Amino acid sequence: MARIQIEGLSKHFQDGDETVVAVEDLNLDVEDGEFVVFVGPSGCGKTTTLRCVAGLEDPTMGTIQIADDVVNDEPPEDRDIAMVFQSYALYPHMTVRENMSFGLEHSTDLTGDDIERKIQETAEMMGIEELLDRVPADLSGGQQQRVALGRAIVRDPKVFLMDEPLSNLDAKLRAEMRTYLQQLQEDIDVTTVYVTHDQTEAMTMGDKIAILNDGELQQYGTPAECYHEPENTFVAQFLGEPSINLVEMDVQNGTMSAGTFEYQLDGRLADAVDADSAVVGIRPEALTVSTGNSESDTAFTGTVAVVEHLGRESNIHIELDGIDVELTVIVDGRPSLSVDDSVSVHVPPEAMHVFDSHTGKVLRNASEVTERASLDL
Amino acid sequence: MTTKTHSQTPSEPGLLARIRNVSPRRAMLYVVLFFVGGLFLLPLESAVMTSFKTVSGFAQTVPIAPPPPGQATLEGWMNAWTTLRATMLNSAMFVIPATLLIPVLGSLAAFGLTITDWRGQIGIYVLFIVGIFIPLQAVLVPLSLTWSIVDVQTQLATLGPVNVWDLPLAQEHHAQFIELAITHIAFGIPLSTLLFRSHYKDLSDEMLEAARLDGASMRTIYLRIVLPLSKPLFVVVMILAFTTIWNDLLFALVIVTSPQAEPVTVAFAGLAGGMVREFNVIMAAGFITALPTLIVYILFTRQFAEGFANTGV
Ligand SMILES: Nc1ncnc2c1ncn2[C@@H]1O[C@H](COP(=O)(O)OP(=O)(O)OP(=O)(O)O)[C@@H](O)[C@H]1O
Ligand SMILES: [Mg+2]
Repeated sequence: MARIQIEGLSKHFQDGDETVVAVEDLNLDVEDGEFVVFVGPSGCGKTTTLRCVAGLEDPTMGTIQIADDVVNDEPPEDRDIAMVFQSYALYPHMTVRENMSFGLEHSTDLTGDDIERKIQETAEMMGIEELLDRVPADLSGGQQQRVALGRAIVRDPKVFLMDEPLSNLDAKLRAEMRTYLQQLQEDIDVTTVYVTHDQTEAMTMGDKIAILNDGELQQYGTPAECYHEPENTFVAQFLGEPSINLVEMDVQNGTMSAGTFEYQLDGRLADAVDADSAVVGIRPEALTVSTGNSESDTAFTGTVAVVEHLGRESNIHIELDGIDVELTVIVDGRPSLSVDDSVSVHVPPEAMHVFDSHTGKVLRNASEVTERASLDL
Repeated sequence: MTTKTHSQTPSEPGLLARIRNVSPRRAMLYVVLFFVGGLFLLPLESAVMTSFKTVSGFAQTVPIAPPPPGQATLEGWMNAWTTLRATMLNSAMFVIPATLLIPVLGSLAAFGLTITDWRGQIGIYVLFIVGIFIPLQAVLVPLSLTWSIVDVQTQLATLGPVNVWDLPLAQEHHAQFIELAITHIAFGIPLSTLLFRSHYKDLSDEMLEAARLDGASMRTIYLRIVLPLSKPLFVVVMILAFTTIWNDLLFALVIVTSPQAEPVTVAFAGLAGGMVREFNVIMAAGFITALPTLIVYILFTRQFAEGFANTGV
């Protein structure tokens, strides 16, 4: 039904003599009822894409289809879309009830009684039924947020667009609303595009995530796909906290090396790496630390620079010998290491993502979900 | 009881102490302020006093003195009222429609110039700005020429199947009210548009976009969102329009040819510039002429202040 197909979408802004490329050649399919999250750093074109789908911005190139109709020339008021703006965009002179009924009055044929019933229902779901007669100025930020969401939800549209709807909430409320929105979307099953720059939100909420950078789509897939099989170094770095370790390595005679680390490339990979360097990515949780020297070739030696104890686990930052690289390793529980200890870091070969050092494109992804590292002494 | 005396005893010397503690500099400041304030109010006070004196009373005393015994009279006020009553009504006939239409048209124009998006907006807007700076003296001759070419009275008489002036209550000199109203509206629109435009530029774009996504047409957005949000500005623009148009003499002198259509300012000018100067009548007439604008200011002070605060004009 309300599938969204974006084909070759580009949006350029004219800024004086300069052309700002906000979105470039974006291709994306959102299936009916799917929850897709757009993530990416600030200014990567998330909002612009959303506004193009809503019809608030004219695409420079490309087509947008909603429910198999090309909507490029359809004005926003005819698209049956509800959008939650980052700034809430509530109508300041109307009560919460009037804010919620406005859209119903103008986009549906519902009668007064039906409208009132729907508002009551939605307000109860959002926990704002006591606020219905207040104006937005008399509400807290979190309450305004819920009213903005309620105003969109009550409409029962073909498509939801949400632009960083949780960005102004405190951590606790944000976590609550996150779960709540997910449940809600599952219940009412409306195609949803959700914009955020918070990777936790992206990983936990989306059926699929679309990672954007500089107006270009980097990867589109399930959160697990994007995390475990990143298509390039940008995606690998963007997802995961702490971020993936990337080490630039020399490649000579089928051997990859950096510092004390050496790895003999096997058949398939040897063909793929044809340059004299490559970038290796290893997730912090895939590394193992031990004190003293390691016998293994696929290990780095270094000294502990910082130990961050987070409770259930600890992040250990290690400065490597011979190369100017700092690795992050996650270990369980309370670390028995302290700053300035000499350690070796073991890299399981199957946990290595190998990327082209020029294009950043993936050559080989880590082959299996690696076990949680443990500190063996 | 005890608490009462308690609270009074310390306050009494407190007040005295405060007066005693006023530094000489401050005392000087107050004296100067009172003096300047009094100076400003003096003409007003003289006018009030004069309006209640008989002619001989006026001749015998200084203007600021109250009427001497036996020389106090309401005659000045009565005469002024009789002379101006009809012309007050004449003024109202074009001031009220113009006052109502200027904010409506200005707000519509501003809406079209800010919230909708089309080519050539800036060019049109520049024309509006130019309209604000046209000196009125420069347009007086073209104006009177225009209204002699576009003769509203004959136009209306031959407009429809019936002669408008044959209708009950309609009189031929009413045509001049229409001319005055149209002229004042035309000259009021630029400033009104400018004020509304600066207000509409501050409205949140996302709020208006939210309304579009809610399915609202441009008309609905204007009526249900933009209009309610510009209420305070309506008051401001209406007050500005009312006072300028009510006090206008220039256009009235140029446009009004029939004595029956004379607005109050013209009548007052006639009184003040007359051969025989009855000062009590002139002063009273001045107050009567200014009365409507005073009432408007007093009634709407709060909204006026709020409106200005909201628009940041
Ligand atoms: N109206 C505009 N005129 C000119 N440039 C614009 C306009 N709107 C957006 N841009 C530019 O387009 C690029 C993408 O902007 P966009 O708002 O889509 O970013 P975003 O991904 O939503 O970022 P954020 O996470 O900070 O909200 C930015 O470089 C921005 O400066
Ligand atoms: Mg944005």
